[in-house]
Amino acid sequence: MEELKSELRRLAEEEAKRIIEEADEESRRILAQAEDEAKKATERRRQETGRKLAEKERVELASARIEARRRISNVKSKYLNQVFIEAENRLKEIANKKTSTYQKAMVNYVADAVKSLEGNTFMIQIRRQDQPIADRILELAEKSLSKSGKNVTLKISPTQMNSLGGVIVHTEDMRQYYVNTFESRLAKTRSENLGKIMETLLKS
Amino acid sequence: MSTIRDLIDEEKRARLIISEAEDRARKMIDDARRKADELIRNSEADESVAIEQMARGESEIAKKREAILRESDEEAKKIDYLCKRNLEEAIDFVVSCVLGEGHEHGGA
Repeated sequence: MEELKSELRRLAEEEAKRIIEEADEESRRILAQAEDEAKKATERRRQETGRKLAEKERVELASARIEARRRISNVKSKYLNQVFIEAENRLKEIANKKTSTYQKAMVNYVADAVKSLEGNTFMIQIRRQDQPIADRILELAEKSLSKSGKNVTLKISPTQMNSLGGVIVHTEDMRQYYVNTFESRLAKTRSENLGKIMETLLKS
Repeated sequence: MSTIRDLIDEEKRARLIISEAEDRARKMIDDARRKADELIRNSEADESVAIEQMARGESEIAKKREAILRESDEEAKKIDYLCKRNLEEAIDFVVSCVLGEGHEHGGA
């Protein structure tokens, strides 16, 4: 009987030990799983923050590059505008002094305009200030055109033009006209020679 | 001499030992589950790692942004110097284009 009692106690203690060991193992498994989930949560957050940062970087650096281009472009624009402002001032001076360069240019302007138009008689609009040199310009232009085989009659238009310099040439019926003023030539120079002007400005 | 009664008492003690072990085991597992829940909750609520990562990342972005702008400012200074130096030549070129001195004529 004593042996049986002892065996009962031993079995009970053994079972109790097994139950505690299993619980201990289960507890460890639960905690290990929780730690794993916690690590995964941290990793998910890290990746999410990384994605947010990448997007922020993309936006901020794109904005910085735009700002950088704007700063460089502002400097180039400043000088480009300065070139045209100063060129305009010099042309005004040339026109107002009616230099030989201006008169030669006027002759060429008239001849170029006439060559682009059809007809034999053309009206030339000039500035009021250019009236004193008008006859001489027309005479030289007619001669120049004649040399190139185009015999035309040029007349000073009663309408005077308001311009920095140059001419507007039109046919008598005013159906065709050619604007060859400093303003039009400056605009054309700007659009056609922008690359060359920038190249000159940025030459090392 | 042990009696049957003693044996029954011993069996009761044995059952009690097992029952106590089962109670302790349940408590151990409950504790573990509570700790696990707390661990996961804390981890999800913990913003400090993300805040630190964000601060570090933003500082890097700011440095890159400054580098881009610094580089463009240096480039702008170089352009300013060149443009200043070549301004006269560019003006002469435009004037000569307008006057038609050896360049393509304008007009419209």
